[in-house]
Amino acid sequence: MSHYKSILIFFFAVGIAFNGFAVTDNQFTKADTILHLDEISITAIKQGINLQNEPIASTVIGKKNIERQNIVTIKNISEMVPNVFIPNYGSRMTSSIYVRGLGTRIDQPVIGLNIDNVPIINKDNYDFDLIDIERIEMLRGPQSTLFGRNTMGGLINIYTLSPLNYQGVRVLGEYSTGNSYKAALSYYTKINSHLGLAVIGSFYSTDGFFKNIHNNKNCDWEKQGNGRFKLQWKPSKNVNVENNFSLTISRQGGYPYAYLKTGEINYNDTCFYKRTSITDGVTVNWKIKDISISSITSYQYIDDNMTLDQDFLPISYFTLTQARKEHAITQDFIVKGNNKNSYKWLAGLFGFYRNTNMNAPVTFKDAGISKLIEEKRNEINPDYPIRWDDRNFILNSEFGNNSYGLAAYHQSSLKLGNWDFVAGIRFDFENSTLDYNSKCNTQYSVMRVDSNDATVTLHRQENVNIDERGNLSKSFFEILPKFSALYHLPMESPSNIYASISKGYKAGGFNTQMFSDVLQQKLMGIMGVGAQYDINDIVGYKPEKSWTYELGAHIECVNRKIQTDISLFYIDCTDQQLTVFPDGTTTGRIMTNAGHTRSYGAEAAIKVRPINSVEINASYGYTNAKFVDYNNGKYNYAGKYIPYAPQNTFYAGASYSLGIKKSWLENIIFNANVRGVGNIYWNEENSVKQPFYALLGASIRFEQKNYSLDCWAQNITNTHYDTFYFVSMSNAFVQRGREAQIGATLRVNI
Amino acid sequence: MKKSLFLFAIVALFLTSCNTGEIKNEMSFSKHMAIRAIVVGTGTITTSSSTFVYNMDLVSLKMDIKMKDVQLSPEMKKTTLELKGVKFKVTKDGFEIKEESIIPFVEGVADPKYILKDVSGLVFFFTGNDAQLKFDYTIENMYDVRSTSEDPVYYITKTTVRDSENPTKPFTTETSLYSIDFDIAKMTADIKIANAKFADKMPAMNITIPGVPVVATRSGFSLSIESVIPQIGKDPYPKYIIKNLSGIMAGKTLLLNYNCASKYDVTVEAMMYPDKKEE
Repeated sequence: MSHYKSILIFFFAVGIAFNGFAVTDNQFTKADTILHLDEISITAIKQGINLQNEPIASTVIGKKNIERQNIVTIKNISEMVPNVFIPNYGSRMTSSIYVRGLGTRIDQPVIGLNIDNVPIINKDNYDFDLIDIERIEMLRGPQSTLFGRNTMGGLINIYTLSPLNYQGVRVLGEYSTGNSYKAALSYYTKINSHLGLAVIGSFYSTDGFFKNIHNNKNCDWEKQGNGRFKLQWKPSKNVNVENNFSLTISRQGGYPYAYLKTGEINYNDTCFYKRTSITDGVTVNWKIKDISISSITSYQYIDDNMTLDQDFLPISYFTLTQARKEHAITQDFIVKGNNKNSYKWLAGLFGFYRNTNMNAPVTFKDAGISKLIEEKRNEINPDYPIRWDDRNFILNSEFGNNSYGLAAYHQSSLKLGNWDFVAGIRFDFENSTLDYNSKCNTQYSVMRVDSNDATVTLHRQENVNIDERGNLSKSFFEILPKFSALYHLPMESPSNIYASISKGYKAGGFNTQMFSDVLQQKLMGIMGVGAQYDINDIVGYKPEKSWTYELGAHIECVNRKIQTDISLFYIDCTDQQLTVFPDGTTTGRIMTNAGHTRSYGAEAAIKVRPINSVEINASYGYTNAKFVDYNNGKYNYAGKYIPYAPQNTFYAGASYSLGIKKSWLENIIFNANVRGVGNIYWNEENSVKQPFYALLGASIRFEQKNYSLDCWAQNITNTHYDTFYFVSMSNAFVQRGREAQIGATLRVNI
Repeated sequence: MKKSLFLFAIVALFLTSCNTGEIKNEMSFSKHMAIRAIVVGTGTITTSSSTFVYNMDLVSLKMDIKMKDVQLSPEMKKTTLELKGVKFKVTKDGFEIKEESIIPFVEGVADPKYILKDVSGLVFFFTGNDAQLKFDYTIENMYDVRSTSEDPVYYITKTTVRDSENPTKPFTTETSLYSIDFDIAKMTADIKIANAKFADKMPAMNITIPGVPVVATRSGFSLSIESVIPQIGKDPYPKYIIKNLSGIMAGKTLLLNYNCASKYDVTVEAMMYPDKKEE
């Protein structure tokens, strides 16, 4: 019931606000608008700035709303965008994103992320705090023609503040529940009229929100530091060169997973995630008459380590570490015809290279050896039971993964009267190789139980020396077309309806996480138990492909005081990357192309500015995503809902700006919002679910041109909900959502 | 699918032969072979072992075969026969040899005394890296010689299990993999079963039935043993005692019957590689 309470309180508050401040329009300064194009100064290279004129379902969040909603990471935009759900669980490595029923917990993402036009190539690096965001665009539906792999669900574009458009010092200080504090200092300057420089530093620390009762300490503590450097050179109005460098260092406990039976977080082995990442992107944009040529070059580096108590119980079963170093470079060349006539075109070449080295040891501990190995084996052959000599041993795997991709793409746009037609195609090739070396050195004893007198004697000892090495290679080639037609409605304000068909795909790859299972199977195989994996068969998986059919409309009316976006979609997804039980095994699971799903639904978003001082935003997304075919080796889940993807998302926000007009205080802005999401099924059987829930948030902002102070609260009604559910060794675990939080954020512009 | 696997193996061989622009088109491997020599006229069968070394030229489609230490009867001294430039063709079953006669080389000299007649051979790569072989010929007009891999693997299997406690509902599986390791000197074989399953809920196991006596026949080998304790991994597994085992290996097929744990009556029908009609 608490979600009804949150929604009712929200509308009650909004109602009071309207009645209490029934004053004339011109008394107030303008509230934030999401699409005030004159406020932004970004360089969107591939698509237009005004997405309302494009045949794309999209949501744009402007700078003021970003500040008021305290958006610093992509997880903060969850539910604000219809049918987009980015649950906050695990650690900064966990960036599960679900869009329109598509999504994945591991490996390849369904949406891409560009920051200042630079594509972030690894989804494990999607989650970090970003200060001074100018604009966020969330494009829903496949963007594969222009942006390639892993954008079959959409694309998030984030643009940061430009030093050529803003100069000064910005200071941010924030304190909130959980002894959480954030500090940021930014310096924006123009070295000369053509050259701007920005240096941004930020630090975030929290003691965490969830206690591990095993050691009576918060497990989800975090410290994160971020440094950014932005250089923008505009020697003429036709040339723009930008260099964006960022360094992020993150250290955190994370993984506050509670055992479902007890509701307690109680595990004994250390869990942490630490990451150091560097991204440097150079974009060059040069306009020559009717042609613009752009180049986007980036280098990306990740050094991270995820260490988990894999059983999440106060018992020493086993732990997992994944320590990785990754280097990647990307290059995109784009040529665009900026003809003022009815035909426009764009063509590009994209390439990337990625080198990843990973060390992934699984450490078996006493209880794990006893329960998972000895008991399993001895139940089968009790006359010759085994006893592990080392009560602690390591299954170690080292990987070298090189991948590269090349793509050529083209898009043509033709305007015929009120019609805009767009056709595009992309040829995308990718190759990936995996060198693996899996090792295990340990020893066990085989005992002999005399059936007459039950005496136990040593039968023999076995040295286990597994050394599996090999090399795997996979290549993928995809042709990714799209077609769309948009009709400009003969209305006073710009409005249109559109239809589009597009193909999207998620890249194929390798299940490196399978190797500990492979080794474990090998180990059991030495003892004669368990089916053996064929590494060639199980480790690689193919790309996942989808066709999306969409009808939509962007309508503005009443002197642009009402803006609505509506879309209907149908997605047919084949070769879906799913986890299945391979033939003949009882424990292991593999990622393979086993599924066929379909998803349909609708999205609606409305922005209303009845008077300049009031703005109301609301959005709703409905998704019906089901398996058409999914046989995991044990059951066929055809007709079941796809787990982890929500069926409904809901957001409503209202802001009211009260003009004070004093030198020390210009406005007081009251803001209330409610976010809702659910049902979310947690498993393929659809037997466990998170029902729909809603979280109420509110803030009061005191604003003057040089400072702002936001006092805010989240999950005011203290709604209980789960953000994640999983089963490990037949035990179910959940991560609870955060309880009520309050905080204050001070921003000073000097 | 199986055809694709084979073709993949061939293509992979070519591709892996490419190195720094230099194209290699040769392929070499060796295999221990179990040989049955059937004396023409009397039908007496002698058994022996030999190692065959294959050197294949994948462009000219010719191969050299070295058959080491061939001894078809106790009287015959061990002789290494070399067959040079034997033509072969690539079929969907594998590499096939069919020659009316081949004069082998003995110590570098062609020796018509050992002329091989009605030669037929097959190299079949079912999984891409493990060759199944047979090589048949007559020699000196005295022996019909049948050579097969000493460790044949039967990839296509159908195991039917009748549980004595529930005999009306047989359990079947096609995921078990049978291989036979011969010890020709002792005329015994170890039967190795990977992914052995006799019931739905039973975990897959790797079981070895050791030291099963083998008798050579005109068509292949027969196996039988009254009772034996199998091994799981390397350890005795008395709980799954094997009784009344009998089997026939003929050509590419294996038929096997046994009782396990005094509970499961097991029938196995297996093939080294598929029939053409199954392609």
